[in-house]
Parts: sequence; C-alpha cells; structure tokens
Amino acid sequence: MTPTSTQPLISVSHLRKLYDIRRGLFSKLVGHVHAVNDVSFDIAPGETLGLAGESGSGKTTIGRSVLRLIEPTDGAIRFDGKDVMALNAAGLRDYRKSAQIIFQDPFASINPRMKIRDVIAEPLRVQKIHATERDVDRRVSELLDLVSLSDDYKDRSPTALSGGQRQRVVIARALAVNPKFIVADEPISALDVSIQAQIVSLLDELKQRLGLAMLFISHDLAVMEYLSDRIAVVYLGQIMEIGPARAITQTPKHPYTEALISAVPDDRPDMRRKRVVLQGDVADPVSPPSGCVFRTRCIYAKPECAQQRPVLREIAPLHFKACIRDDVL
Amino acid sequence: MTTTFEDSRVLSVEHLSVSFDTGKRNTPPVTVVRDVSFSIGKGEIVAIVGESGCGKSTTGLALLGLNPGSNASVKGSINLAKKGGQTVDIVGLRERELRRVRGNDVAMIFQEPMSSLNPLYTIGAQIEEALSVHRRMSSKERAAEALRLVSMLGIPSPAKCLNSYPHQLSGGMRQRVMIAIALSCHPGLLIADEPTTALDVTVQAQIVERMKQLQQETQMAILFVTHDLSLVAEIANRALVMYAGQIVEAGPVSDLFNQPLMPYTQALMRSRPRLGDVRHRIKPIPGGAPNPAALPAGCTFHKRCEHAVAGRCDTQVPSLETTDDGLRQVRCLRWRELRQVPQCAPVLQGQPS
Repeated sequence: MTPTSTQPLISVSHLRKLYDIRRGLFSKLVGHVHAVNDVSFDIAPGETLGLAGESGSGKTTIGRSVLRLIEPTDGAIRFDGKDVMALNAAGLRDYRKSAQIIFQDPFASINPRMKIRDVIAEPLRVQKIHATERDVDRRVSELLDLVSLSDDYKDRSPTALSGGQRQRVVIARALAVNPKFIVADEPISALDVSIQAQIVSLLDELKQRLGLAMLFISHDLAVMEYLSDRIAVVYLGQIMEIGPARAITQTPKHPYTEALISAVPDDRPDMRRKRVVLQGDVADPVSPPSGCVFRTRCIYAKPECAQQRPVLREIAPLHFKACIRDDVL
Repeated sequence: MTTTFEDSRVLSVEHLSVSFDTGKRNTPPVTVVRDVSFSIGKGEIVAIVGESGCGKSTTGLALLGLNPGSNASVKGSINLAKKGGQTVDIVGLRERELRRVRGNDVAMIFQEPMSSLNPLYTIGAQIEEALSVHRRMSSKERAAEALRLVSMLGIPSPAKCLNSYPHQLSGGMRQRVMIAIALSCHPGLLIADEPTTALDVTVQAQIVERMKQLQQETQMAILFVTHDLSLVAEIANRALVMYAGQIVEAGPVSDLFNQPLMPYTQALMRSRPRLGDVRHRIKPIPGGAPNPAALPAGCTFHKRCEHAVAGRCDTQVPSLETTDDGLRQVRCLRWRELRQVPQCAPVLQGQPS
C-alpha cells in the first residue's frame, strides 16, 4: 500500500485477525474481537517503522502476526519476495533466521534455569548455524560484546541480572541468527528510566551498524520518534495515519494522532502544545463503530463519518491518513 | 500534646529514615530512606521523582504509617495537620489512631487500581465504605454523596458505574474511582503513588487534567510520586529528586527544569528523547542504581557521574545545601563550580555504556 523508495523487505497487505468469542455449554460462536482489521504497510531494508497506539489497539497482534507467531485470519505477508503465509513448519523455521523478535518483559522471556551462554546459543543450535560448539561459543562472545556485556556473563544465571542486562541478553539472542528484520515489542517499557536510555541507544546503534529493519512497537511517542523513520498510528486494529516520523509528530493530520501527541507530557513548560483531551475510552472491538472507528471520540466528527470507513489517502509524499476531513488539520 | 503549624503547611517531614530488617543474621538492616526532610503547603502539588528503588514509594507509604511493622523501623517525624488544625506525628502513632487519620486527613491512591479495589464489591459499596468510616451520614446521604463524587470525576453514566464491579471498568475508570474514594472525606493531603503509570497516555492526560482541576477546587495538597520527569513538569509546583534514599535536589519545577543543579537530575533529563526535538541526541547514564545495602562511599552518585572528581566525590559525603535565594536545595560537592558551565553545552552523541 505505502510505497517506499526501495523494494520493500517486508510487505503486509490487508492483514486481519479476528478472535472468536464463544459462550455456553457448546461453545457457541457469539461474535468476534476485531483485533486487527485490514492493515497494510511496507518496511524497506534497514528501515524502522514505529507502531503507535493505545493498549488494545492491536499493535502486538500486528507484530506477532508478521512473524506468524499468531496465525492471521486473513491477509498477505511477503518477506524478501517470499510468501510468508504459505510457509510450512520447515519454511517457518527458515524464515526465523531472517526475522526475530524482542519481547517486552525481560523477566518473562528468558528461561531462568538456563545459563546466559545457552540462552543466546539456543537459536544458533536450533538453526544449526555453526558446525562445532567452539564456533557457537565464539559467536556468543561476539554477541555479548555487541550488546556491551562482558564475556564473564556467559556462565551467569539470568536471575543474577538486572532488567537492563536481561534485555541486552534478549537482544543478543534475537541477533544471534543475523536477522534482517526485528520486531521490537515494547522493548523498554518494563525498564527503569535511566536504563531505558541505554537500551534505546543500543537499539539505535545496532540498527545502524547491522542495517536492521525494525518494527518498533511502543506507546512512548518520544522514543518512537527518536528511533523510527516512519510511524504508523493504530486505533482499534486499523491504521489511522502513516508517514515520516517527524511529519507524524510535528504536523499530525489525523485527529487521533493529534490527540495522542498532545497527551504526551512535556518537560519544557514554555513549549506546551495545545492539548486535546480525548473523552471516554477506546470503543469496543467486538462491535466497532460504523464508518470511522475513531468517530465516537473525535472532536471533529460529522454525521458523514458514520457512513463509510475512510481509506488511507496520500496527503503528502509518503504521508497517508484515513480521515474524510481535510478542513480541520 | 496538641500543636499546630504556624504557617499554612499541611505536612512537615523531618529527618525521616526507614530501614528494613533483612531477616538474615549478621546482616545490618538496609536503610532505604535516609534522612529525608521536606514540607508541603496547603494547596501545593509536590512531586517526588526518582528511579525504582530510590525510596520514593517507601517515603509515600511512611506518611500513612503503612510500612510493614515487624521488620521496618521508621525514624524521624512526620507532622500532619488534621482537620481541626492541630498536628499529629504519624511516626509512633498506634494503629487505632492511624486508622482515624488515614482516609480522613491523608489519603492515598496507588499505581494499579485493579489491585486496590475489592473485586467482590460494587464500586458504590466501596465508596460508601470510606464515607461510613469517617463521616456521619445516613445511608441515603451516603448513596447521594457517592453519586456526586463519581460524577465529579467525569465518569460517564455515574449511576451505572456505582452498580458495577471493578472488572467491568477500564483502567482509567478504576483509577477515577480510586480518586473518588480518596477524596470522599476531603483529606488535606493526597498521596498519589504513580497513579497514571499503568494507563495509556491519553487516559493519563484525562486523569492529570482532572486532578489539577479538583486540586484547584478543593485546595488540597498533593504529593505526586512518579518516575516520569515530564509528568512532574506538567503537574507539580515543586519537585524533590531522590537518589539512593536521599533527596539530591529540590526546588520549584520551573527552576529545576530550566537549570537543574545536581548532575543526576541533569543526566536524567539528557537521557530522555523529547517529542519534536530531533537534534537532541540522548545520553544514557551508565550503570545502574546502587544497592542500598552496599552504597558507594562519598557521593552515592559519583560512580555514574560525568563530573565526579577522584579523591573528592568518592570520599567526601555531600550535604544538602540550600541555594542563596533559599528556594532550592542540592546535594553535590561541585554544584557551585558546575553552575558556571553553560547548561545545554554540546550535547554529545549518545553512546551505550
């Protein structure tokens, strides 16, 4: 959908994920949760796409669907020209040499009974990348160095590590197979303030050094602007606006983006933005509003907004929005 | 003994220290709050900022006498103005007396509203419980008051909310209910411990706006405990920065953000990307917060400080000094000389530690 200057590394089109709601003795199907509803985007090699939105907007479901950690209901995913949706088990294992994930909570994503050495070596052994254990060991040292941990962490237990150190190990594990693409799902939100900065800097350095493409999922817009080339703003499983990171944060064109950006607290008292406080909560994903899903909370909504779902339109080069009103922002 | 504050203070904390017994033999107790003194005036919003483990929550809990009794020892004094005007020292108060103060003169809201509400009772019952403890009202008056409180917090369809159970509400709504309970007895002081950390930014903005508005209407004082510096700038009049159990910098928010004096505060500010400021390259603080059981000698921050001088910062313990204008406090041996260095001087390219 969104054209990028180069051939995309990953291309997602019309992705949908519905979760069944079943009730009663015979688990009768009574409805669906529309977690992701017709989402399309491309990511170029080496590019970082930020995925912003409130909790429950479908960010994580999108991230995991792209790796097929969750089976999408519908849609097409192409990686490097290959059809990801058609892959069988062996094909998927191969796919995961190129596409990896960093999870949010480093206390939940590392097996506490494994030594750090084995945590990082596991993908190397699963993928049979090295012939000998000595090569595996050499690669583990390399990876530890890459994430600025010293070699003597190898024989430590994860329980002896702090949150920041654990997240470095998780990053090293994801990078072990030399992937071209990484999904980073809220990689810093479980960490302390000063440690967040260390991990953000590390990710920034790594993606430049290794030419990684990244899908960066976060609710922290300042960090997202810092790390991303482009940002997609998701609401109730749909992309509301997608475009160059600075354009999204500086001149948002969708009412939801405007509200989201204006809600971010700012520590420069003289630089306060106009604040649009959203009323109410995110609408129910079981029965999303007709037309534009955001219209129930939108301060600019008109009767026409209930009629049909707005499509993403290009309003500036590479900058798209799904809103029928051009007269307000 | 009845005393009153001569000025408009609602809270005065002096030399507060909280230490915990580790339960291990031959191990001394771990002191997590060390000699903390501050006061809050009527209608003031004061923020305590710091990273996890710096003692900010422990300080907040101590103000309600909520530190677990058996293994905690609280020293110093916490004088709180009661409704009649007399003050009471929370430290050393018996449980029965504490119960009369909690909720009535000082109330608290916590980070995770779901775990603070009872899942088995309706919202209405939980708000009325607070009213029945501290205020003399008939059940009819209580029901009316609960409805008024819930509407005051901007909850849509308030009557329906009162009949709901906590699991039927969203996180933002639950936190509003918590605030309603906290405000039900018109406390002079509200302690808010990371009240918006578990919420989305948009909901956070709603709650913060509402708290500011209620604070202006009721003139209650708020102690806002948070790790989010930007949020401090939005909500507070004055801020206390804590590190390793101590106050390391304190002052009016505008001064603190325009010219932080303590290298730790400066480093914290530089380590955050700011929305819309793409030239600002972040600079992480190396290392992690020190273990309270094995604090470094000298200044507790010297190992992570770019301005630390060997032979001085690692040996001499800095005291909390007051600036000449009397408005600010800073705990740094070099703050006077460092102040000469232009603040936003070349911000270096971020390097991982």
